[in-house]
Amino acid sequence: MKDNSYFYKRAFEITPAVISWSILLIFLCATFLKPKVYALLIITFDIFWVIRVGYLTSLLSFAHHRLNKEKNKNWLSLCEKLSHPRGQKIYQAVIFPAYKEGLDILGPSLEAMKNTNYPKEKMIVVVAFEERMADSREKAKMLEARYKDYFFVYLSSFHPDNIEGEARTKGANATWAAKRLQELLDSKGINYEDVIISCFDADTCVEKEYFGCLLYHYLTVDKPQQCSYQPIPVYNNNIWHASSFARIIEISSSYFQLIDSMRLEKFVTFSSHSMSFKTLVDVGYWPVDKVSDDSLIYWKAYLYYNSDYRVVPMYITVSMDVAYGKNLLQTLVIQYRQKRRWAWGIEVFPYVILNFKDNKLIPLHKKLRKAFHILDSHVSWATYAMLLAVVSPLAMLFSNYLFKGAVIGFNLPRITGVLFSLTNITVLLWMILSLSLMPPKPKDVKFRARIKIVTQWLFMPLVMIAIGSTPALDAQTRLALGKYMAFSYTEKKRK
Amino acid sequence: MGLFVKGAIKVMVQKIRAVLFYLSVVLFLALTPVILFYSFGYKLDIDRLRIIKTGLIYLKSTPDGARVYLDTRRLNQATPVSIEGLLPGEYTVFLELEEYYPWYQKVRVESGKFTVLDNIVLFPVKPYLGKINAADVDDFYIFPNDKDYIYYIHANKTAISRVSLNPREKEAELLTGRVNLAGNIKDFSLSPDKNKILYFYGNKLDVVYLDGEKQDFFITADHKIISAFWYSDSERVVAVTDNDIRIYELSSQGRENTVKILNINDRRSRAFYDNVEDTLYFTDTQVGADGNQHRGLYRMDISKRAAPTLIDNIEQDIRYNER
Repeated sequence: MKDNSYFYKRAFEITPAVISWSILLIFLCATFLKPKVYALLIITFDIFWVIRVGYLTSLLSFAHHRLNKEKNKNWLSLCEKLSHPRGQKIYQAVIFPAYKEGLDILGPSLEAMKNTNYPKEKMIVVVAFEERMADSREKAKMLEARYKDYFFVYLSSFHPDNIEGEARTKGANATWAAKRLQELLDSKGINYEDVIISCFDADTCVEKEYFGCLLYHYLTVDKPQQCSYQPIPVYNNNIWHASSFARIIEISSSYFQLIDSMRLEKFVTFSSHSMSFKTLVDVGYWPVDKVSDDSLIYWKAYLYYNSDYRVVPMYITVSMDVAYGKNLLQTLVIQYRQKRRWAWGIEVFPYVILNFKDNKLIPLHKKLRKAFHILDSHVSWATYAMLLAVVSPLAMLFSNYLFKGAVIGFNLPRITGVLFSLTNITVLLWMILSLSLMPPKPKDVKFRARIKIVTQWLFMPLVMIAIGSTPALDAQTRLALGKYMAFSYTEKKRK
Repeated sequence: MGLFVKGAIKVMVQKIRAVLFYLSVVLFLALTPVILFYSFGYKLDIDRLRIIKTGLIYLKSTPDGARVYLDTRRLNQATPVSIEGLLPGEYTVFLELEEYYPWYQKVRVESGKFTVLDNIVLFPVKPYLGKINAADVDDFYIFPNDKDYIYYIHANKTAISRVSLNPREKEAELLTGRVNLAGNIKDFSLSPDKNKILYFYGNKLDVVYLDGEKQDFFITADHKIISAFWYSDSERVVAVTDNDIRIYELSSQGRENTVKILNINDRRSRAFYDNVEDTLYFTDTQVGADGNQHRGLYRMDISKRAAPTLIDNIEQDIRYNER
């Protein structure tokens, strides 16, 4: 039986890579063995791509419009107007799992917490340090001295190293902190149902209205404990100082999050998110041995509630850091590693499928749909950019040799060129939308940076080639080969 | 009330999303076969209600914008143009552009194939004509080492002038007015420093200083000069006669330090001089071991870095062949 489960696990770990590599190999083989089949496939794919990009850009526009509309809402007063019986009772607990981040990163995050308009006597802040970091205690002491008087409870936790069954992941640290928080709530007699827990990356700076917005959604949604609450992550903390290359990657990441906020059936928690503390305890906290703790917590809850669990989008932003290096190459490496870690989210696929297998209460159509969504998002990530930026131009280069005077050889570059330029219109729209997502220009940034904010989108094809598909393909291949990834820290940098 | 509005907005957004999604699916299903058929050269014959496989012709002319006729039928597009949906067969393509000579060609179109004619040049009926200089001209030269100017000899053969090839600089520059050029000059050559011109005829070789700072001088060789070249430093002249190869030094007006570097037998030797490497390529005739005359091709390095043995080898080789 044990052998069987290992076999299934490996089979589902291999599946995404097999599908992605098969798609790429089919295209590549067809290019040289059956050029006309290749032409048929690539034109069909290009049409699919243009329509898909058009569709997603429409969703992005809707989501962006919604974000703008809800930006200036006074959420706390809306909560008061609800006169909800539990409105005054809810505590907001926040965990900041920290690793190598210094005070320059943690300080602004806590400062943003301090500046929120949520009643501070209802706020609990836990900064979760790793005990293996030598300077953890010192940092904790300095932050405690600065912030402990501002909140109902300010707590520093120190996650011990080498706990059995744990990997060195952010989830393990957050879980340790959540358990300390649980002890605190027990000691103070606070019900878990009355606590909303938010797990924020160490560099997350919330908006003033964030907790009001969160409370409003918590009080108004159906079955609030069976929901996760997902803000829109933007990377505004240091965006004016980051390189154009890093900037467009991160803005694109925000866009994908905005798009997904419109596709509720696909929407999964990502990065900084919030949920009911009771649910967190019930489902057994964040996973302690997996890298993708942010999405796995959703799947744990989804399975626990037999599919009656969802992610509620909140059109309010939380700001994080753009990861970038001293030069383009370093930025490329940092971005590649970060995106590979995100793409490692494919590790949820075997976890979800194996759990679906054992769960008889979730309807089959829901299981199939969810499995398809996971596969679709990861396989398309690993293949689309590669097909568009590498496979397609490769065949154009050998067009004369491959098609030997056939009409398709003449038409293929023209048609793919027209289809591709149609997607450039959407890039123009992305560029315009990005302007409204940007924070005000700091005084130390020169005016020409504004021009770069517009012209940076010319880098888009380069970004597609450099880190479009490769991190996802890398992550899937590692999973297929059983070379499991450990959590890799992305260095944060501020000027 | 607020909750109701929020719920209604959510439902509406999801409805719009559903409409967009299904619209995208319909668009994909409708567009894909049409674009694929078009890409592979298929066309719907409406009269006979059947699908036919066609070919195409791509035309690009210089200049662009020529009217296109296909078998006397005028098309609405101008070059560059791709004429698509053509049934297999032979077509006459005719291009017409005002003030240019027309162009036409018979083109064979095959089913599912394309023909590219992208190197069509239309020549103007009235090409641009501009007078470069004012004086009467006997002859002119554009030297490979000075393509900015055209050098010309005045009709009375006593002066050499040059004028820039840039049409905006029309002023001619008189380089020398004290020559007396013979009628049978074989060739002119500009020195690498662009300061001297040599020309030769019969057994005479003249060097004219263009800046007039030095006096021109004239060499009379013992034999008929076949070719003459500038050495890379512009201070020597390499002359190939029908008897030998000599190097003349200009500083001694060709009177001293004249080196006869090689005897040759070829009365009509062909020679080429690479004045970057200072290497002379030439032909010479020798009697071979079979007793017959053989015309060989030789290379002679006369650069400042040349090793003397190389010349010796050629001499020995020639002498051996002479025997």
